[in-house]
Amino acid sequence: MNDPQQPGRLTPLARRIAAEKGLDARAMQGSGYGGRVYSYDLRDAPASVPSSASFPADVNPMGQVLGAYADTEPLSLDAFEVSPVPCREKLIEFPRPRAAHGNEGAAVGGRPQACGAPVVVDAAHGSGMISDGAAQMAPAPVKIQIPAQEQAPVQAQARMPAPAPAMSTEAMVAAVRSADDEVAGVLRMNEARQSVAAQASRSSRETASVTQHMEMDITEMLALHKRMNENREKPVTLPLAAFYLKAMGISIKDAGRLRLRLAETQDAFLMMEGANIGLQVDAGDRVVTPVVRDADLKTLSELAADITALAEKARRGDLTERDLSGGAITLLDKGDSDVYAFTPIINQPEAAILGIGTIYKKLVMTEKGIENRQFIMQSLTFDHRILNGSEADSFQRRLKAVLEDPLSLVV
Amino acid sequence: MSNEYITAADGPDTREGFQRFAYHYSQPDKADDFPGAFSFGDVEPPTETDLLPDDDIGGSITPNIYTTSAYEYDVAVIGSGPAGYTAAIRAAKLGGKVIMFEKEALGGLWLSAGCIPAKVYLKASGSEAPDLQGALSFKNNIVTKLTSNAARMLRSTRVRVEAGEAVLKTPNEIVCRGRAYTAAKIIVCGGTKADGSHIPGASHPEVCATDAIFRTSDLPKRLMILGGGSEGCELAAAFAAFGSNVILVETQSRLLPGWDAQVADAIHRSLSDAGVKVYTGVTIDEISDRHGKPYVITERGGVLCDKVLLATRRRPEGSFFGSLAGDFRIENGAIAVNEYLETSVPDIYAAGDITGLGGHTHAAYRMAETAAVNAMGGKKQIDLFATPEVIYTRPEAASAGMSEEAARGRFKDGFVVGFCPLSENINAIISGTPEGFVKVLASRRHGELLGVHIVGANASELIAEPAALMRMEVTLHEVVGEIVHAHPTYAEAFAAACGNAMGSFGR
Repeated sequence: MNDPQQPGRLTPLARRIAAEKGLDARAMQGSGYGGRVYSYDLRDAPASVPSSASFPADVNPMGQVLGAYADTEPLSLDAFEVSPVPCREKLIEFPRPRAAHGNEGAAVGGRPQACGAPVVVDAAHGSGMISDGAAQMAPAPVKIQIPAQEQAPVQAQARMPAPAPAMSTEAMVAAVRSADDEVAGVLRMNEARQSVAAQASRSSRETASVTQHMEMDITEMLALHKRMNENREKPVTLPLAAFYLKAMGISIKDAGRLRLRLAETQDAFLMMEGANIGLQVDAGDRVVTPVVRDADLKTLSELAADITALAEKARRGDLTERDLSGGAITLLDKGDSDVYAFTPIINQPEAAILGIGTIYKKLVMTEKGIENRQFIMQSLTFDHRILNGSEADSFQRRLKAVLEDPLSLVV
Repeated sequence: MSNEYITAADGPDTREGFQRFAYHYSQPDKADDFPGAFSFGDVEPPTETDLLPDDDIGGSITPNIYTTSAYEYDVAVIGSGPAGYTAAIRAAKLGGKVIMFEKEALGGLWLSAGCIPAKVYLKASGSEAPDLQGALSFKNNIVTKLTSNAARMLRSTRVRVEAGEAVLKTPNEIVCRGRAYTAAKIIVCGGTKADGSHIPGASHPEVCATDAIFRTSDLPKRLMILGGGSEGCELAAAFAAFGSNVILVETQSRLLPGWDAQVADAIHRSLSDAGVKVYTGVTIDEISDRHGKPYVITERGGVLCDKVLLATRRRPEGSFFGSLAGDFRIENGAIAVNEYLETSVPDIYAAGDITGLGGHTHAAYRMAETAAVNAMGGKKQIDLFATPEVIYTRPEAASAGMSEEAARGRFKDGFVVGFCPLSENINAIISGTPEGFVKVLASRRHGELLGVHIVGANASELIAEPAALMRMEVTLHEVVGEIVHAHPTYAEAFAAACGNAMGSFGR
């Protein structure tokens, strides 16, 4: 028990609190047998590294400075799902003590922990900040520059985890280092990353998702697309996404169950008004899904204008609550990538998400002989709690039929 | 050694055996004749402190420091219940010269009216043909065994035992049957007794306390139990199983005040299923007499009973107060103590339920250890956090830590609740006991366990793990991520409830 390195010298709770407060557990003497450290030994201990000193960003969105341990602070359950630490993304690189032969002598004189003291590379300031006086003996770390991400505005659609007490970065570094010396660094998640992570994991956990791929021959549609863009007087080009949105709008109007979502109580389905389709945009570490309304009733030009307007709003960060809500299904168009087929994650509480892959060519046998045709793969991930396989099939077949015979898109 | 403290065996049942023990004990050459006691021959008195190497007592123990002074004994203990005999043995093992006084039977209410008879009656009431006579003789056998075990331990540690009522004269002087004994420190472990003074007519001969009901061999046809705490619930369950018509009355709005409401609900249901008529939120106006039988008048009408059991509030057994009666500070019907278990009277410590810190035997043990160490010069604080509370009903209930209501008061929304019904526990299904649940409360911040509440066949055994983990400050993260439970066992239900609290597992 008196060996400070021995695991279990701190109770698990004390270990968490010490890490959160950034206390050096090795120096502590607790009130338990053999100096075992209990949580109450730490209650009055001040945080050794005030998080605000080195991390001005360690202020949560509610404006509270994350401070000392207080067990009465109300927290959200999300604290268990992700660690919602609103701070900038930055890599804390662990220095490698072995490489620094010159420092070994110093480490003998000092306490051994000095050798491995973490050094914080603050990407926002671009300078190495030394977190602890003893770290002066540490070798210079490899400086890693990570561009600081802009603080993303809180997206109404992103289920924003409630503020939770953040472990200071130093404390996290100390905890990780003591637990696993294979880890080379810590990259803290920013708000947007955490929100995406929370949303994705929640969807994966809660939905009974099935993904089906269906190949579509879009040679005709591409020909139509080309002719329409060539004939346009205004210099606005119709994106392919407008065609997909229109086709999806028609298909979900026909296959009504695609507009269902599961009620919170899990014992009823809610039918959504109109063929509203979310358009998922992957912007760096942020994912936003603005909604195009009544896609079945709008013309391709109107849809193209909607897409442009929403994209502009997303870029400026002025998407409103209404822009982000009311979707029945989401479109994730990866046509500009080389991805052939994939398994998108449902944007809850919707019933399904449609992924569109890249356009590819292949030789096929038709009535006219061997032809070079263009294809895309549609990947539909649907929630099996809401849709049966056959219902998903009929939607996919309908979508295929509309896109392969694109006249219905323009009439 | 003189035999001046031998008295005639004129007391009731167990008292007689105890006095025979006291007599033999006082004469070492005859001690081995004491029936039921194991013989260890002559035991060397402890020559040095009997401390474990890492035993943390928060101070230094100097054996026999006081006996060099004006006092005959280092420590005198009043009462031989679980607190009393533990304090006496602990102080003696620390090198003290110890004397212990008991006016009735060795073991106190622990043996006569507490958890031992309750557990025995629970066991007996679960047999195929439960009967009170069988339970009574079973209980008496057990009590005899335990008494002789306690006697043996006292003998081997050379605690001097005095039969007779001890009365305090000064903070360092006790008078027992006309002789004065002086001690440097006194630990009072006098226990509590049922208090019916708030009910008019509670002096009716058929109105009894728990110690008397455990001596009864005639099954009361109509038994009314006043007080829906753990004691009342246990006896209601036992006597309903033996065949009494039991009415359980609680003045508060639900059974088991202070317990988690879900536990109270489950126990209420199980008692109702067992045929106990449970009335809550009913006050007793008076107990009157109808042809020698108690007639209990409540605000909802009168009931004629054969016996009425007082399981309501208790007050300290204060017969030892003597001339110091006014010096003890009494709070909420208990002797006030500080964290070192010191009373308001210098040199006098208190331990056991007389302190109001906990009515359970295991709490008494913990307090007695602390009081004994401090009386011997240590400086140890009492901490009864996560002391399990158990109710021996069918199914059993057990809890450690705070109730959901208490957690809400203290943590607002800063805690999570995990739940696992035993109907989802494979061993409970196999064993045919799917009634009950495990409920876990943990803080949202660090996941430390705040309270664990169990209703079910083995609740009293199952609580051991969560109580230990709470004491050691193990959090949900370790329970779910690191600790392995055997399969299929009831204990898995605790892990499942923790998983449920984490929100990581569906159920």
